[in-house]
Formats: sequence, C-alpha cells, structure tokens
Amino acid sequence: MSLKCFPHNRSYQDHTSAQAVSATAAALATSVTTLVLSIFSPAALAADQVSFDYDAFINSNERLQSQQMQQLVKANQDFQHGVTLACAQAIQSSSEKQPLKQKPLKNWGHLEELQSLWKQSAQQWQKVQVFPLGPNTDTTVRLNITFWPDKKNLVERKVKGLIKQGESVDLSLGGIAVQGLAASEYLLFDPRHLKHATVKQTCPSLQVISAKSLANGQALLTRWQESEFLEHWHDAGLGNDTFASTTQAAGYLLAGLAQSAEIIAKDKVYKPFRLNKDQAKSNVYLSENWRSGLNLDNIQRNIADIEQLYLGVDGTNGPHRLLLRKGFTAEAEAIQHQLTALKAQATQLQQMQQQAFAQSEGRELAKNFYQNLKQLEKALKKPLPSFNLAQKFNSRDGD
Amino acid sequence: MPELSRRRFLQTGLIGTAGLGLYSANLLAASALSSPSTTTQSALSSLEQAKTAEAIDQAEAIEQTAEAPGLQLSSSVKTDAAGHQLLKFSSNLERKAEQSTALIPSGWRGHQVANSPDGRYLVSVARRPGTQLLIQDLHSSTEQTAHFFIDADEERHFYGHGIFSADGQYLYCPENDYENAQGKIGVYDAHQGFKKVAEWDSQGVGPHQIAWVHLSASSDQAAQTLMVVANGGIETHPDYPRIKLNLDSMQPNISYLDLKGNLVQQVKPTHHQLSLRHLDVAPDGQVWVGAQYQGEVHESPNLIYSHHLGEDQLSPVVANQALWPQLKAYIASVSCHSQSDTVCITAPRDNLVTLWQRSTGLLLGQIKQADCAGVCAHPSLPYYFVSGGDGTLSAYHAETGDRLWQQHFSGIRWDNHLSWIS
Repeated sequence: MSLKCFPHNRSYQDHTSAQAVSATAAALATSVTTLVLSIFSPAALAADQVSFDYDAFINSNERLQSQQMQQLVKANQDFQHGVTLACAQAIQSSSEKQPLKQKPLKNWGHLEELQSLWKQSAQQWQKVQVFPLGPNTDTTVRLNITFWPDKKNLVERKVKGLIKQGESVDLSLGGIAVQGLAASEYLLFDPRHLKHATVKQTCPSLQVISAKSLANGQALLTRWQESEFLEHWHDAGLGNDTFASTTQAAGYLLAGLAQSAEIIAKDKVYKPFRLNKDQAKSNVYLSENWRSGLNLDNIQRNIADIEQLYLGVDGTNGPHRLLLRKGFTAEAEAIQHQLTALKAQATQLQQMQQQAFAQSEGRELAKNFYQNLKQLEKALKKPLPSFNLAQKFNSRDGD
Repeated sequence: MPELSRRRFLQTGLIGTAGLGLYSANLLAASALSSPSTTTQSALSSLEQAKTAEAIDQAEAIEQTAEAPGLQLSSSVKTDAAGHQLLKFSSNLERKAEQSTALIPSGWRGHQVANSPDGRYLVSVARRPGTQLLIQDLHSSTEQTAHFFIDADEERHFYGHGIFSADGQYLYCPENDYENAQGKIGVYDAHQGFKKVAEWDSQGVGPHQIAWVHLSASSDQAAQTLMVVANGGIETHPDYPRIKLNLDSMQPNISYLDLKGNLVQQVKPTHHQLSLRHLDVAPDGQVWVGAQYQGEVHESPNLIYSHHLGEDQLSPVVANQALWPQLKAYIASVSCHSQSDTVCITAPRDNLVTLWQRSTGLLLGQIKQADCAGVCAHPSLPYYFVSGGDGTLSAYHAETGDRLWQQHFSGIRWDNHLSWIS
C-alpha cells in the first residue's frame, strides 16, 4: 500500500522571522537545542529558548498514524488467516476421524493460538484509537471496528442470532454489533460460549467476522489516505480550512487528547467501577474487552499512547514543547505531572488484573485514577483559548 | 447606530466600509437586504454596486414592502450561559431600534422548531433520542401557560422535526417505535393541549423531516395535500443513543402519505446507504431532499435530489462528483424559496452554503460560512437566512448568493435548523 505524497513547500506561517532562516541553519539550531534540552530541563529555559520543529511535528504524527493503521491491517490479516486455517482443519479432521467440530469450543486445539492473534489485533486497535483527530474518530467507523460500550450486551444477543444462521452467515443481518472485534472476542473468549458452543457452531461466524475485521482495517487505512484531513494536516503550516497553522493543529491535538482522557475516564473507568455511588460494587461486564481480560491492559496502553502524542512521537518534539515555547510552563508541567501519576496508577490497576473489579482496594484505586484523568483533561484544556480553535457544533454533531 | 434611510444606507456603501457584522439586524431589514453587495467585496465595489440601477431598484422594492413584517425567526440553540434553549428572534423592519431575542430553556438538545401558521405556537422538538416537545404559546395570557412540555408516549422518541397542519390545529411529529424499529408519525391536537390523537406508519425506519406537498387540480385529479416523509432508514435505540445499528441493511426512502396516513407513493434512492434526511417542497410540489451518505466519505454519491409525485425515481442535481466527498457526505438543511426558482442547501462539514436552480438542477453558487446548518427562505423577498454553530446569522440573495448581511450572536450556537415564523 502506498501513501499519498505531498509536496513539502510550506511557507512556515508558524515560524518567527528569526526562525525563518535557511533550512540548514534551522536544523542545526534544532539539533543544538535538543542537545541542550537533553541536559537541562526545558522548563528551566525561557520560552524563547525552547525550540519546536513544526515540520517534524506534523510529519512524525502523520507517519506514526499511517504505520499504526498498517499494523492494524497486518494484525487483522494474521487473525483472519489463522481463523481460515484453523476452521479448514477442523472441517477436514471432522470428516476424516471423529466429529471434532462437535467438541466444545474450549477443547479446540487452535483456540489459544486464535485468542493470541485476536489480542494482537485488539491491542493494535487501542493504539489507533487514541489518535483523536481525523477520519478514524467517526463513531460509526469505531463501532464497526469494535462495538463498545455495550451496556445491554447487544453483542451477545446479535452473535447468537448469527450462530442461528448456520453454515452460511450474512453479517449485514446482524447490525453494527457484529461487525468487528467485539463479536469475535465473544466467539473466542466468552466463558459460556466456550463451554456450550462447538467449533462447528462457531466457525462460520468467526470466519465472516474476521474477514470483516480485515476489511474494516483496510477501509480505515484507505479512508485515512484519501481524507482531506490528512492533506490539511500535512499542509497545516500553509494554513487551510481545517488548520490555520501548525500551532493550531497542535492545539486541536491537545483538545483531542483532552477528549480522549474524558472518554477513558467516563467509559473505561467511571461506569465499570460504578463510581457514581459510594457503596456500589464494580461491574466488570461494563468494562472494555472484559471477555478477553484486556480491559485494564487497554487503559495502561491508552495512557502511554496519550503521553507519546503529548510529548512527541520522538519523545521531545510534541505539544508539550510547544506549550513551553509559548510560555505555558506551569500548564505544561501540570499535564506532565498528571501523566506521570496516571501511568503509575494504571500500572497498579493493570497488575491487579480482574481483582481490581472484585476488591474494594481496586475500586479505590480506580477512583483516584478517575480523578487524575479528570485533572489531566482540565490541564490539557487550560491553554486551549490561546490556540484559537474553531467552535464546531453542527459540523461535529448534527443530525 | 445612526439613523439612515434605506436609500442613503445603500448609497453610502456602509456595508462594505465597516463590515456587515457590525450592524444590527434591523439594518438588514432597513437596507442591507436590498443590496446585492457581498461582504468580501471592498468598500468601493460595494459603493459602486449600491449605485447600480439594480440596487436602486431593489431599494425601491424594499420601500414598497414597507408594510411587510420584520424578521421573525425561531431555532433551537445552545447557549454558553444556559445550555439548550428555544430561541425566538425578532427584528422590526420599520422600527430599527427594535430587536429582540427571547430564550426558553429546554434542558435537552432540540433540532427544528415547528411554528404554527397562525403564529401562535413555536414547538421545539427534541432530537433523537429525546422524548419531549417544548411548546411556546405566544398568545398565552399567563406565565404558567406561556410555555410547557409534552412527553412522548412510552416506547417512542422524537426525531427533532414536526410540522403543523394548515389550520394550525394539528402538529405532526416523526417518532421512533424503537422496540419494533418502525417509524411513526405522531399527530397532536393543539386544541386539546397537544394531546396525541393519532399515529401513522411512516412507511420506513428512522423518519426524519416531513413537509406538505400541495398539488393543484389538474385534468385527471383534484387538488390535494399530501405529507412527504424522509425515512432516513437508520435504526437506533435509546439504549445505544445516537448509534446507527443497521448501516448494512438500511433502506431509506421518501414516502408520500395522504391525510389519513395511507401510503400514496414511495421512492428509494439508488444507494441503500444514502440516508434521506432533510427536505423541503417547492410551490409546484417538487420535493427537494438532502442526504447523508453512510458509506465512505471519499466514495460519497450525489447527496441532493428532487422528485415529483408519480416519478419512479429521484432526480440527482447536476454537479461535479468531487463535490460530494468535499461536503463530507453530509447535508444539514434544505429550503426552497417560494418566489424564486432556487433551493438553498447547507453542508456544515465543509462550511458551505450551496444554491441550486430548481428547474435545471444546476449549481448557482457556493458560499463559505462556518458551521452553517439552519436555512430558511423569506416568504416573499428574495433572501435566504442561514445560521451557524459559531453564532452567525447571515442573509444571502436567493438568486445570486451574494451575502447581504450578517450578525454574530455571542454565546449562541444555532442548531441544525432555522424556521420562519408566520
């Protein structure tokens, strides 16, 4: 798959006149400053001494997202390939010897391998999911890739409907809940399904869903490559309808990360740990990927990926440094402080695994984690007024 | 603001020199409406245009409509100060100092405001999956009855749209029978405090905007009035608010219903994921419908169609195929002008107002306006009013698309639709 190429001919609207020197000089200045920054904390420097490479910021994010989506396609290919082989073998062995296809799914020799392949896809999706801008933020696109939150267990109801279709499965009759990873997670991990269903009952749906996941991943990549968003992101330095400047593009990224923090706080923490009531018990079934047990791994991964986008793909040239450059030292430090605290708490939660949902200690930890996430959201939003972001209302959520 | 006569205002070219946004809506009524100038033009060119015979003629036309009522608009809005509200905006054409903005909190996000033809009721309809109507009674003598709420029946929610019958007695609202995934049209009697008195089948899933089609008598049929329904085809359920559950199997259509709710004709689009959502009807009965494509944006087919009762398919407008992905496969509002051979259609995801000739389906103009969504036509003068989520309200010439005026309402986000109050 080839990515669209764009000319690198920006007018560098974000650069000050002092910075608008030759590319070589700028590159040299950047490398010198980077060296200085590696020794001294950027926060200790005056704002005008902090460098920010606008082009590198744009290009690195663009490259990272393309790579992440390509890796998702690859993971989905591996998963689909694995399912095809395993199901073909099941049919073959069934016709030769004994009715293997009639065995409970939990005894299927390929189960562990397929579960592992599924997890790779699901984990890769978490990486793609965190980037808060562009075409992959569309709700329908996301729900097609994996249907969640699922407060009424629609996935189970709809997958059972698919199974009833028998050998020939038509996914379009199942609706959005069966189009992606949540449905294949049910087939490969749901405790009751593993106990009561057979390989024969599972394979037709699993094959169709894994093929659909591959198509979803490919569509995601194509949509990204074809999007006006990518074109405008790439040329943000020139100014366009989406981004007035690279600085504003970084502002949208900050705003998007704040929104990601808000969604994680609400859907991945607040609701499953039932933090709305003091004495309530957690409800693991409301957590993301509870069947595969990836719920807390996802959260840990999400925080790490938010931090990467904030600090920069290379760890230094991200919105954090831009905030320092713009003089928002206290705000930048507050964000970094929250991210550090959140990473430690996410690790603690992840280490508790499913006990986190069963024990009051886990719920208490989740409560603190939630509060820190809300603090992060607030800290990310604080410098936004200076980025002059457009107010979107009907274009973001019309009807 | 200095007092200026309409003619003098035009002739001084003040629109161009100071920027339209600085002037209040009463000036729009007083003068700017009559100017063919645009905001993007220089002061000089505005002045020159204002001096043209055409402009002078238009000014005179405005003079002749001195008795016409002022701007009377309604919309659902979100305000920074108090959340979602029903807004009534008035600006008197003749008394320039009179401009008022009245707001009533709804507590939920509305969509379209349905106005009764006699000007008595304004009804903000909750958008999906909302379950209330907020009714403002402008004839009420007591504060208690000046506005009130009506709840949807059990297992029903609204879709944000409604229209009154010509006599103002009945309000019709598209609703979702969500347990059975069936579209309904609820009928409410204003004479009985908006009690629900009937329910029709909308003949599809996800009924959205509805409108009246008035057909005049011809050699083979008597005059009749039908309702046209845009059934978007998308199944939703309040358990999964705003999630589209059936994109693979959706079957959108427009359906014509008689006044007993019986199906007269149904037409489907060529692509099953072309969700027909918003529509309006020209005086000759031609239905104009705007779609939201549910497939890949870069593959979006034509989003704007017209239809006459009896035709077996929708007619696409004439446009470059690249336009539809550019509009992000999304149309917000459609408004036909009763006095002009045009239809104005907004595409907020591309910040674009588009103007089409109804008789030919040709694109007449495109105007940039941030987050533009609501549009309504002036009932007699050649203007469209367009509202945006950024608080801007603009007026455009119905045939040239020239921007004639605009005003920014600080702290107000105009929601998807704008309605003219009779």
